[in-house]
Amino acid sequence: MNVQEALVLDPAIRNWVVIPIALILIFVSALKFNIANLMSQTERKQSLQNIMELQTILRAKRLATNSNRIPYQSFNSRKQYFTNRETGILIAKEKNTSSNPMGVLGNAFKDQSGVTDMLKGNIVNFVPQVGLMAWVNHFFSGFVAVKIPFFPLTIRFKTFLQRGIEMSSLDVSYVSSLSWYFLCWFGMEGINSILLAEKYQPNSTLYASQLEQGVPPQQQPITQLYTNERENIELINHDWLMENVEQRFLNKLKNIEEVKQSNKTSTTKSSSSSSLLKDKKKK
Amino acid sequence: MDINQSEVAQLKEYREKVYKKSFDAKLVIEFLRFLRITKLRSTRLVADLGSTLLSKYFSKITTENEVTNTFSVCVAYDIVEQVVLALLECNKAKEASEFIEDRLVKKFGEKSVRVSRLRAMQLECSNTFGKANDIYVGVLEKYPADQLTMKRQVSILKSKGQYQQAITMLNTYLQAFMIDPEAWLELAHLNIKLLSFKNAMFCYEELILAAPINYIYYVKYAELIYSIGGAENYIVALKYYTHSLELNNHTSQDNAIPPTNLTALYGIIMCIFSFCNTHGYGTTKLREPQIELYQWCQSELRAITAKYTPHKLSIVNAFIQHTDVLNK
Repeated sequence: MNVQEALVLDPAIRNWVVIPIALILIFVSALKFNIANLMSQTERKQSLQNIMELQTILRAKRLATNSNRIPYQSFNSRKQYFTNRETGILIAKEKNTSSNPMGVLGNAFKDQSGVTDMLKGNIVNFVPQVGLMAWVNHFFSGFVAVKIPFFPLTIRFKTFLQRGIEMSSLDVSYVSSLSWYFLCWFGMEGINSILLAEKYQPNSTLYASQLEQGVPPQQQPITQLYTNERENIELINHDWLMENVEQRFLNKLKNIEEVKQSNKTSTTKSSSSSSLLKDKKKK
Repeated sequence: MDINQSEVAQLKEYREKVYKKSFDAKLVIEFLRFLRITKLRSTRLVADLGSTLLSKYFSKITTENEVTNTFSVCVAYDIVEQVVLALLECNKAKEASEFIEDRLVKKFGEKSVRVSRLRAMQLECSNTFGKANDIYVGVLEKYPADQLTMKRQVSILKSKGQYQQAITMLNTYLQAFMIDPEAWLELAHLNIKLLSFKNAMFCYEELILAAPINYIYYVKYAELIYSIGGAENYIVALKYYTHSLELNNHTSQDNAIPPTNLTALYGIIMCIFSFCNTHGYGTTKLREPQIELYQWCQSELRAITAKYTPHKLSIVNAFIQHTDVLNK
């Protein structure tokens, strides 16, 4: 153990390995931040068609859940609107896509904007990381760069802290240059948010927030959702909620009265309306 | 919409505070923030206080907040937008345009959609609808799915009095944005203005589907059915009035707040009255619970009037006697 403690790191390593790696990482992440901003400025435009499809589904769902609250004729006209064999909007859609040779598959791949957005984000993240790793690996491989000061770590950290140095006798608290690079990379988030967040981006809020509330990109093909909703609506058994509403309401009133009566066993007279109601019941 | 009682109380408190003291920038900022969050409206106050705030203390808002929170600079511009809208509502287009040009255009440039929308609204306020519409058309070319801009276009047609066109436009809007309750409500209003109750009914059905426990929609829906008339419709209207009472009946609430659904009580009485009159059979065709409900409404109406507005009791009594179908 004593031999290992005596391991001295050359100050030149500090000057030419540790500090440059950290500095370059800061620069790169600042650049990355700005490039990501530039790219996200070409904001997603939502096509009317897309919105319409999503809202149709939501509206059909509403009809399915609350259909009992509207009269039968109104419900029926809506049902026709959605599910009529020739003109129903949930069916017309199905026909269109099934005539398409690609069918459901074609529909799934139709919307590419979400994919390209993800690709952009990945490129911005991925390219500099690969480049930097190659750079560190090439120039600084094999350097023991830093020693962790506080306490000895278990042997399991060896692969994490000493990547690029295959030496079983080296104490775990020494960090290789490649691992130093990774540590810096992961720790950069917090520093970035302090350094860069002061910069004010008008675009992020004033520009976009009210413009177009983004609807999450569709995963499931829209025709399948349409079919589900159509089946839901077709299966509804319309049972008008208002059929017996008068009796129900009167029962409710009586219940309230009873509760009140049992609560107020004292001499306080209940309100005039309730007493009138009771009188009527006696008659 | 349902109003939160505690928020209203808070609004009152704020109003008193704001009136009492001499101008206090911090309090005003807080007040404006409160209004933005709760979406309550107090336009005149916002216009007055806000314009002083912006013209005298604007630098203070931006600098002060920058230290505490990095995102508050946006808040400063949210305040500008809020105040500009309030000014436009108070018909102070000139002041509003000053703020737009000085603060917003300088900051966000000519191309910002939100700023150009405000500009167009300012043009609307000063009655130059053509130019405003041009701006909206330009925005829609770039962003064909911009809801607010489309709505503004409808409102231009409405303020020009071209209701028919407004309805067509709103219909095309609703083809895409068919779950927007605000638009359905507006379409219902326009249809009522043109006396096409059937179409308005459709809109209210849509609203009921969207917000099934909001009693106001049921009241309005019942009123429409009643207005269309016919013996069957009177009974349907009666049912919907009753349902609105089910959702908002003051007896189930605290008695300190005056009842808010008197319309339904009057509506039920009128429904029964009209039903009996058109039918010619009198009360024989009514079902037992309907008559009971009718009597309950009469007594309830009397009780409420006696409690909250006793001086109108004679009028209400006259109404009840006139519409009384049982003792005729």
